[in-house]
Amino acid sequence: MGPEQMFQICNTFALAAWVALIAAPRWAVVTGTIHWGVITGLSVLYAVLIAAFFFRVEGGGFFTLAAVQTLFTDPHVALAGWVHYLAFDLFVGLWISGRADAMGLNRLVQAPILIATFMFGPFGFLLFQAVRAASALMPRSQRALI
Amino acid sequence: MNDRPFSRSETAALATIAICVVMLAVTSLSMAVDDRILRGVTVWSKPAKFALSFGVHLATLLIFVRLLGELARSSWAAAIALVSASVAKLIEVLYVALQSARGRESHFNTDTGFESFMYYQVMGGAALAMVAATGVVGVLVLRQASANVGAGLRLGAGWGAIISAVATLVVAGVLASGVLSGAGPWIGEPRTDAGGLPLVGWSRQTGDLRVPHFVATHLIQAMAVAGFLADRLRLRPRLAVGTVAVAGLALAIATFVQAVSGLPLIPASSLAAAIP
Repeated sequence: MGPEQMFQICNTFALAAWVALIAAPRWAVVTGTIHWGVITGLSVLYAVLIAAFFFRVEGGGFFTLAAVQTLFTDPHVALAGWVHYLAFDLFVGLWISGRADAMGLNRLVQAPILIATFMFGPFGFLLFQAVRAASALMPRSQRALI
Repeated sequence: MNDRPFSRSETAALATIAICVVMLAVTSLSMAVDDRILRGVTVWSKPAKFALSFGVHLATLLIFVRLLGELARSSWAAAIALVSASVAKLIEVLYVALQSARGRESHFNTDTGFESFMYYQVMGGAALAMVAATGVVGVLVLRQASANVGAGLRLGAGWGAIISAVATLVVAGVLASGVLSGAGPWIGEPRTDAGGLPLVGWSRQTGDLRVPHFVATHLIQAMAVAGFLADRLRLRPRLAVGTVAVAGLALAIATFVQAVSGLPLIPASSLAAAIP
């Protein structure tokens, strides 16, 4: 299977997981499948891609922007980078949904935060950090829950 | 804020206000690195203004709901008002910012099916939800404010919400319909924010319907503050709140007529305009 095909399959699983996280009930089977199925599965794929392809890229590395760009010229390593995004963004989304449920945040308000995390990872995280920071305005008795 | 725990709907509103604050910060910072121009000014001007004004408006509604007695605070009406206002504001603030990031118009944009749908159905519906929520909160405050809320604050917040909701519905309705101003807030030429007033961006060369929209919408705060001060200063609540209501509505009507006449709130140069 080529990297393009693997990319499509990974995207499909990630998209399904995000739709479930945004819209489905927070049943253990849903969050468990996302956590142990999709995110862990993507992590296994990432580990294999890195093991097999990362060190083959001439001039690739982590210490200059140009070296990172060189890494991404290899389709398998670019795929690994994308899988990294998919896995970690989804993990952050799962963490946000758990925290948000614990503070009793309405699912309709959670939805745009999760969509933002899905599309632009750290931007969605930033939105939720603002929500967490604002909880400091709540009475002390309630803050302990968050 | 008082010491009572936040209900679920109040938590939703607080979260939305927090997102408005962070969006104000993000959009303001983006101005520094993004040189794209829309309507004659930085693309980030509009989303920054939306984040600020929506955050302030929702904070006002949240404070008002927390003025209610326990029964009304936990009512379905209060919950639906706060949550629908929150979701409506989130959608608008995030969509307006997304469109700016794409370098495209949000309101009056019917270029694609998606943008047309977002403009008419989604943002139109969101605007109506905000106005309706404001009116509902106003009625609740008038009828079921907590016993420790002064008469002035009760009248100012309650009638302020109701009057500003109705006045905003009228002015924003005219603005959104495009009947007088076409696709934008300006009546006459030039149709640009370039050279507008600082911060608000209102035209200094021609009529601008955002001026009466601003006055109508912020009557809610003006009247609530008037009532609050009446309680503190032991003025007659009806007189204080009523005076601000009449003055505010008069200002809204005056600025509306001014805009419709094609006149700016503050001309760019009164001297230059006087010389033929």
